[in-house]
Amino acid sequence: MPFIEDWITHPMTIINRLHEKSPSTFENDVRNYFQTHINNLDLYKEIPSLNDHDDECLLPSGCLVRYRAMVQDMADDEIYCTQYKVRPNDHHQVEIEKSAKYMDLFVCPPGYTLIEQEPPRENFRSRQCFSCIPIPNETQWVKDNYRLHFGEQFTMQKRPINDQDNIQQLLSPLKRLKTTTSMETNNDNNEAIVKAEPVKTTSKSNYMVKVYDTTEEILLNTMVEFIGIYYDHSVIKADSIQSVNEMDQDQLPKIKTIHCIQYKKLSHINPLLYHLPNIEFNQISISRQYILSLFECIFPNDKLLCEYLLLHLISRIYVRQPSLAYGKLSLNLSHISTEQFNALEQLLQTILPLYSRISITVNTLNTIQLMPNKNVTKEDDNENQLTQTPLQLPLNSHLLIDETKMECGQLTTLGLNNIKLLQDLLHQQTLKYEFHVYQLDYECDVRCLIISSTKSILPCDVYIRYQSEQEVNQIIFPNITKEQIDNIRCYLTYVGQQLEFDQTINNVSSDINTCIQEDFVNMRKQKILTNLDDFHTLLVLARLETLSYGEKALTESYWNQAKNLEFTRRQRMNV
Amino acid sequence: MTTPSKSNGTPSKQRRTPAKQTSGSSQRTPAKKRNPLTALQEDEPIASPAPSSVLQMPFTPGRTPNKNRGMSFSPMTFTTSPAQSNICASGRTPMSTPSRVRSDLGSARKLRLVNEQEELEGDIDVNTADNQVVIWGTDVHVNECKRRFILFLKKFYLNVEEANLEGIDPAKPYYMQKLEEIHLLERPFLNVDCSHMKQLDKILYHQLLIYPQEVIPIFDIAVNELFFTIYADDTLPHQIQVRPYNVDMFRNMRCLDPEDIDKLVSLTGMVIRSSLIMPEMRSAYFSCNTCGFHVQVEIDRGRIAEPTVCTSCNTAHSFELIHNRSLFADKQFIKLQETPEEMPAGQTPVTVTVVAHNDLVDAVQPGDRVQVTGIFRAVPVRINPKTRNVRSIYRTFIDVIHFRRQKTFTAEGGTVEQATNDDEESTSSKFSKERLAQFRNLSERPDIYELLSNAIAPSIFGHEDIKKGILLQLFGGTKKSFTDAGRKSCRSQINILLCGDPGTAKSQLQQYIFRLVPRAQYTNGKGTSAVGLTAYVTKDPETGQLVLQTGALVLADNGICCIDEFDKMSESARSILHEVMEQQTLSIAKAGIICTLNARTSVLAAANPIESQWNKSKTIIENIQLPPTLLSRFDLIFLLLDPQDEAYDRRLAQHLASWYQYGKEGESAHEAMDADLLRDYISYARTFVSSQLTEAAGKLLISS
Repeated sequence: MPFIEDWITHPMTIINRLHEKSPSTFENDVRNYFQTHINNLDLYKEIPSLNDHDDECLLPSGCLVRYRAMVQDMADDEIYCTQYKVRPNDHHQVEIEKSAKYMDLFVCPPGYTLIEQEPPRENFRSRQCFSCIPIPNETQWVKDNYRLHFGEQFTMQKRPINDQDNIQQLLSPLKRLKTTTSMETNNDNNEAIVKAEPVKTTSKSNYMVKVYDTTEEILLNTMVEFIGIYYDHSVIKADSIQSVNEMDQDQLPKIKTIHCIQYKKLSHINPLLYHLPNIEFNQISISRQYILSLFECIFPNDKLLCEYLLLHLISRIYVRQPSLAYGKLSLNLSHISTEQFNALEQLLQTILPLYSRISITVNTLNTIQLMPNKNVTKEDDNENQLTQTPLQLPLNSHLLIDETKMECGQLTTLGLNNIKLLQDLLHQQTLKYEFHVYQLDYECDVRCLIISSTKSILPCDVYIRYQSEQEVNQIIFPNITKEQIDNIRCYLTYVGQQLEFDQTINNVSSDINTCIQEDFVNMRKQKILTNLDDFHTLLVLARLETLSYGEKALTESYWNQAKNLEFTRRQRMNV
Repeated sequence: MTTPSKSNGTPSKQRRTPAKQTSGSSQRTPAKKRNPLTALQEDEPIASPAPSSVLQMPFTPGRTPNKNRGMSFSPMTFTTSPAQSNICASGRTPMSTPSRVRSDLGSARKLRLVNEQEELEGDIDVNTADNQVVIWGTDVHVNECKRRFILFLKKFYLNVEEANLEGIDPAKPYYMQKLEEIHLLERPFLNVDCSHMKQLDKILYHQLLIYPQEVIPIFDIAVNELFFTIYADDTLPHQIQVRPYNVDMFRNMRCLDPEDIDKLVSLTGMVIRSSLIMPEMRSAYFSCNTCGFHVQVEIDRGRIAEPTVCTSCNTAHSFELIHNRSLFADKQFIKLQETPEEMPAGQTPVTVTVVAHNDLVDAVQPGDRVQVTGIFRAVPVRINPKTRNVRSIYRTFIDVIHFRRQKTFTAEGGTVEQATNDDEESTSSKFSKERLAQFRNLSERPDIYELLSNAIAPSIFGHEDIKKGILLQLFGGTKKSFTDAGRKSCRSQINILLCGDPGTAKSQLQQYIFRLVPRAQYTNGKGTSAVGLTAYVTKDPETGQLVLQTGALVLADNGICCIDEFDKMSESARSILHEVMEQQTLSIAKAGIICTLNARTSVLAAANPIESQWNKSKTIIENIQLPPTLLSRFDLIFLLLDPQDEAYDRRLAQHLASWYQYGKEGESAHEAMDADLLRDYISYARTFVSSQLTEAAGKLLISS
């Protein structure tokens, strides 16, 4: 199919053809043309994905690509000229007007010369520029599954991903744990790997994406899938304080450009849920049971902790008030062994799509700048990028804060600022960004799990101490099929998504409202509920409990369940 | 966007004076090319301009050719460049006010004037011809525009209120007073508030917006004409330049789009960086190697066209640039960043490059909040000589015409700073007229007190009295000065202590206030040491000098200092507060530094009772357990007690649960007043209103 080849490798020829055909409707034509192709899943798969390509694998300039990314920074809008004219070298023919959309440089076909002239003002348009990076905390299984389900054909041939292999790969961390007898050495290895992995401040494969005619707002840290034309020349910045003439081509950072034709905002990046738009009801409770059993492997005899862990994993903000965010449930676990910690981390990596971890010690707090910052004072404009930090994460990310290595020591100003930053993140789910002349708060939604040796120094909604009679030395996961793991993954994403759309909970049923009121009054009487924040926590728990069963309306039983949960926890903490 | 209807007679609007065509045209006379500032001796013949319907008018008024077929361009009446005094020995008043190049209007383009009548080839009536001179590509009639502008200057009066604000006589035309100011101060810049112009003459206003680089020179001419008719003998450093500002088109730099290219825009932003001052060549001086003939070439669209052939000796490529006889102007690149208030949520701030010329160079520093008025431009990104490709991207920037540094309105007695590029803009506030009207409407409402107190921390349930108390604290009292009596002034700040059971939203109230008030500090008594609150002296590690570092109380000067866990504060830290809370100053005497710092701070403290739960059997004093000396310094002490009452609890539960309902309609009973309005209202009141006790009120106080 030569046409399809054409479509992917030389989209500009099609765009030009459409422009020649009818310049007036050209923009619509382009959109429709690519829309119909992209909507066809088979054709869609043929578009090469930048996420699957390593840097070494070079794509031809001017080809169509897919790019699953997070908006990491926004550059200023850019004014470009929509049309230019070329003239054939033999002066007999008329000038041809060409479209300059979707490109940075005027291209002049052989045998023609470019007519340089100042274009009329009507020909100016603006486009938005986003600096994008691949989603920083995307877990490996998400990448693999994307490749599996949406991978291009030729990649499949080159490096066939066998289903069987894939399962092996998925379960490898678990398997390894099962099989290893000498835990110690292995753990150390794992730790080193994990530590190196999660945060790369300067990602190699970031791109400048230029978006035309945006209808909806794209916010910072949104996950978006862009489909557009890839150019391998580095970014041409229009705006520079210093004379552009002096800029040397070699000095420019090698950031490649994508001219976006179509984009789609991603509310989640679980590739499995593209196939399963809805989960059956019984599937939910099975998955729920299953996930709890997995937790119980790590934390035997502590159902309470497992329950909280589950609720924590599906928590999500749904109402924001000034200085308050309702719906978050940050969790602090303490007194757990290294083995448990590692197993938990591996489990989370296997079931969550967005997962990252930072380790805080006095030393790291004092040395690492956690606040994303843009140093605008630098003379060189190309350097004026927002510096990504481990805390700049897309919505609904999971962040594990490892506090187990914390020791006594003095914090410097930077350390204090970092602590403040983390406190704000945990307390209000906002993150400050430094823009040199001022700092700005950005809303975020990051589920924070703090693992500490004793109660954390950071404020958390819920603190649980692991309680067990015997020391847990060996963690054995049951045999898991790929299907079951997939179900768990879908369950977590699905339930987490539900929270966003959910409007019914707590809304009308006045029975439950009066019931809650009565309980509140009673609890106040008994002096077991003094702090109003505790009441908030109770409400959040009840809500999450309801959702975790796939229910839509809060009933008395869920409310009681939440109450029991919370009071058992408090009893344990008071002991 | 409003575009005035363009007159039909305007020849081809689309062609925006391609300057390249004109640059080498024979219509330019050597006399025009000469810049008066260079004071060259005249050795070229003065060629009279070729009779043509299309004339060129360079920007500087002084350099218009004066034999332009009787069309009355009066600018030269007021210019005496050396060149022209040679030409026209008409013996006019020898005035020493030189003209001056306005690089802010853009070097870029030459104007073409078109006489419409001539194109019609009808009989030219001299009188009507005057009105028919339009600028090429626009609907701007030169004389009409001039007339309108002069009329505007003569006819514009401020209303009484604003005039009082500006300290100006409302009975006289505002801009005539400004001209008088120029006459007195000899600062030849006239700032014109475009909103004034909009009130009086909408057409002129729109012309200004759309064709600023054409219209402003006309304004310049007009104002000079007017000025020198009134103050005929005046000598100014250079001719008066008009600087319009306050265009109400944009507030946000995010909104700039291609439609605005070459138009006049106003926007606010924060200066984040300014470049070094760069000399920009305004006009190049070329001299011929063979015959010594020299030519002055002016910049045209950022380029200087080097003459290839010497007109005198016909040698090709013989010209050489003489640097020290060329003219340069100051130029500076400034980067503006969006202000936090204008930012839409979830986006990163945008930046705009601004180019300042001549006097405006170094008028603003990084960190300043400025309102910029200027012309939005787009120029192609220069082609790198190494690459063959042409880029389709345009570089955008703003040529500044007017800077205005914004004063920061904080909740404090006075304004921190107020200066524009010419220091004459006084106290017109940052509040818009609508906002002021809103304030006035609000203040006339009978329920304003309830309204305001409800607006404080709406998410906190109940505690109406406390909110009212805090509201009073926010407004503050009137400062009374006793300097005559040999005492310092009596404090106007109100200190509040909140004392009560744990979990009664004390900290939340403090947090809210901390966020509401621009200059507030929040500290926790537990971790606060005396020096952290006040000030301490450190040794600078690099220079070894002693440096005074200020603590929370001093930083909250003219603001509010929120101190949580007041009871858990150490004794020494608390004792520091004695001086601050009564004298409103802070004396430091340590390590060689002795000074008194101002700490006009209202303290909002929160404390738990001594047994952390209120003990009903004890007295208030016993419960709070603060030294009476300190306690006496609090004007208002609120007890936040848990009523331990069922009905209250029930309502509270309802209130809390309402936040969890999707629509969260629970609170809509109160009229919502957003925090911004509240903040503005308070700062306005603190700045402009100082209440006084009336006699009747005084009597009432005494009797009660």
